Amino acid sequence: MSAATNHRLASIAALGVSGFAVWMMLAFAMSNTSQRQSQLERETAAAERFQRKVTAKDKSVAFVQARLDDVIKTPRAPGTEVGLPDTKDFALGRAALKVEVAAWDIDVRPDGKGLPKGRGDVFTGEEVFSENCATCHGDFGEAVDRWPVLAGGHDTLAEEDPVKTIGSYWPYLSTVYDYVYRAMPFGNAQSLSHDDVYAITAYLLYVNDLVEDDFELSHENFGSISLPNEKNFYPDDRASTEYAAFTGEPCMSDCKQSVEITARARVIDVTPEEEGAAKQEVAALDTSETTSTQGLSEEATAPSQEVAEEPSTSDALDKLLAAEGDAEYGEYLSSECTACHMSTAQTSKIPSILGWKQDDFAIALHAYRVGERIHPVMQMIAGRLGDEEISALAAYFSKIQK
Amino acid sequence: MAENNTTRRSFLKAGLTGAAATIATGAYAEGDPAITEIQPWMQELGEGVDARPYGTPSPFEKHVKRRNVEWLTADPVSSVNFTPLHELDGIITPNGLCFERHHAGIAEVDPAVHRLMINGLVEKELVFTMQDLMRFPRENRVYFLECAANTGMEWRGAQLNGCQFTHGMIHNVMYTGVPLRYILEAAGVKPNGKWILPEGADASGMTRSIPIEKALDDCMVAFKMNGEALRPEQGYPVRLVVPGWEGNMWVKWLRRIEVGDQPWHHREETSKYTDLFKDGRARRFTWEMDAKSVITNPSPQAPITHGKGHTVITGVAWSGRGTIPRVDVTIDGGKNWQKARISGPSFDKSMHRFYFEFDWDGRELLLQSRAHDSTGYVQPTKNELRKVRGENSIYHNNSIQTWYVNEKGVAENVEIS
Repeated sequence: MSAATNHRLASIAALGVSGFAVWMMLAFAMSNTSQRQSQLERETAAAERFQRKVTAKDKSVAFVQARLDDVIKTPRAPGTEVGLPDTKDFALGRAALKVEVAAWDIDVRPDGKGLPKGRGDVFTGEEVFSENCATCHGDFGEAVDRWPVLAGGHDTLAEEDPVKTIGSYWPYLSTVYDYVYRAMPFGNAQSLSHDDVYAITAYLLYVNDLVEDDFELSHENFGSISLPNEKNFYPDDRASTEYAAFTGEPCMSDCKQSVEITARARVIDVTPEEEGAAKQEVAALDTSETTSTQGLSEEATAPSQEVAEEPSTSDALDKLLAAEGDAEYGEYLSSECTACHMSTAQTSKIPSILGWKQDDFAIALHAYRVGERIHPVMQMIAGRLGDEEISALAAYFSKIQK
Repeated sequence: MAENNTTRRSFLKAGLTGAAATIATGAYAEGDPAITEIQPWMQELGEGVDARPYGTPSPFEKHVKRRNVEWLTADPVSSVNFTPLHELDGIITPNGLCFERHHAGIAEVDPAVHRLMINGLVEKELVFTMQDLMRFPRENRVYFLECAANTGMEWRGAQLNGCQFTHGMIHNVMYTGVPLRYILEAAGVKPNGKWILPEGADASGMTRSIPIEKALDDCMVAFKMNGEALRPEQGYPVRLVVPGWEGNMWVKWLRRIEVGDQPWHHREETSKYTDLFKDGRARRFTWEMDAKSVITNPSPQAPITHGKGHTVITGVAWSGRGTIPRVDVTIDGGKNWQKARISGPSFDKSMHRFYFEFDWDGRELLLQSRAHDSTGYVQPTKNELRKVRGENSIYHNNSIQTWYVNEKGVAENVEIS
């Protein structure tokens, strides 16, 4: 973008809302169509309508304002084509019938628009949920495997491992209703009756401790329910919080004295195994005695001063993985783990450690021990464990199935 | 078939042997067998024009494919796979390699019974067939589509070893379609129509709220990608194109657009695709994708196999707010940077291809690229971004990626000070 354009955008940004009209005029001045005058007038009128709306109370309009000022700054690439017709009615399509609109228009908004008539209570909800939802989401919304957790997680959003549930995170109850009716159960969408969806929604409020067990939800009292996290959402503010900091001519030479490697993917080792190419190539490179790189590595045997020496963690890990692990000793040690990681049921917050592959378990604890995984409690616990303890625990927990 | 027995590994070894030969002159005293021996394809007849009515890549390229990360999601039906960026060049992503993200699997929609409905705050609620849509004036535009969660696994540290996995939730294709404003104006948006809600025809009924200004600016209703019909996994027969904005908004299998006076706050714009900060509050409506780049070669899946000497570093850069006039590259972990060369067309909100050639001395490398976009925004480091956002936001990680390359040319995903 030219300096002139940048200057133009900067001055428009300073104008604020009224800048939109100016911007639209400039943007459309680039187009070369004969109809641009009518287009201009229409867009200017739209901009003025918008400007009047900004003073309205509607929060969504404030969002629009933020977007217009901060986001839609880049005009369509000029000069890429000319002659695309001005907007006009091409007399295409046909009128939608009421019955057709009703069949597809199922969306529900926070203000209650789109909410159908119906009702359902917590007890019914428990039954319907158990039948249709619990296979994936668990009886109480605690979730099975990696399916979404629906309940709990209160006051965890600022923690290291936030649990984002309907109760802890979602801002609006209407979203629950809309989504459950629209897309659930997974693989059998739109099969639930409206009363069933009211009941499920009531049950989800209940398992999130937001209503009592005698609660009934209906289109009549729906608007009285607020979710606790609604106030903690705010519109995109990157334009004021980030863009100035991330703009400007960066350093190009002698930018820092030294560079250290602080984290490595190999230590965590969660990359899917290659079926073919790259890992074999890497293996070939690691072991081949005939590659052309061998001579080079001799040349570069002296550690480069520019990069940090490779940490010895991979050697330590190899040693750890070579250890067999005494499962009985592991059982003896396991109470420290099962105090949090339940040995029978899985809580919604703390992950299960049962039935892990022995190596995965050892790699994970090792990663905590050397600070590559960053949970402070696990770092503290793993930091106290030697290789023998880790391999013993890994051997023990690998034998315990969920 | 001979090709099928030739693994990439043996192919690679042959390549390496060749490279060694150029150093140790005389290894081919009898001449390079690739030249001196007659290969089967030099002698025998190949397949005729009736054998491959829809062509596919060479069997030697069969490793070039989308891949998923099993542990990411509960089920592959509502999941994501990744574009093999390290195997591609130029700026266009081939249709069959464009990453996929579905919420209810790939809908196989019959275009004959597909309809697009416009309803809500419009003068006339309308229904269009595919044939109707194709009678509007069309345009052709190249845009990137990046999932907001691209690089999302890397917030807390270097996790996945390969740019396919760290950066592969992106593709860049040329769309043919109808400017959305034509369709909206045909229905006549009422003055209080401030938002649209596009909705998909798949079993997830995907919905997102989009401000009317964006809808009237550059959104498209597209039915072709790279000249051919959309692939089913990309929304056949018709999808929404929302240039520069997060991929989730580009609703596939588009069946309905409602016009309203306020946003809907549906699941994918509240529970998902909102950015949780360290203070427990969350940003929403973070639509446009900030400038970003990544070196695709070398990278963990694409090591340097030729040894020292002339070496080509290449990668891609993009911005949801404009073009990419400049990319910087460092080979020493950010002590010194040099401007890369950008090759290929520079379109608004499209991927750009950059190259940096240098004479590798065989020492360890710490490679990074840094994109500048046409607004003057410069791609931040991982630490700079984490300082502002914390580590729990999942989405919109556009920070600088580091690859460590050892003396053998093997690359690894790392973080550096």
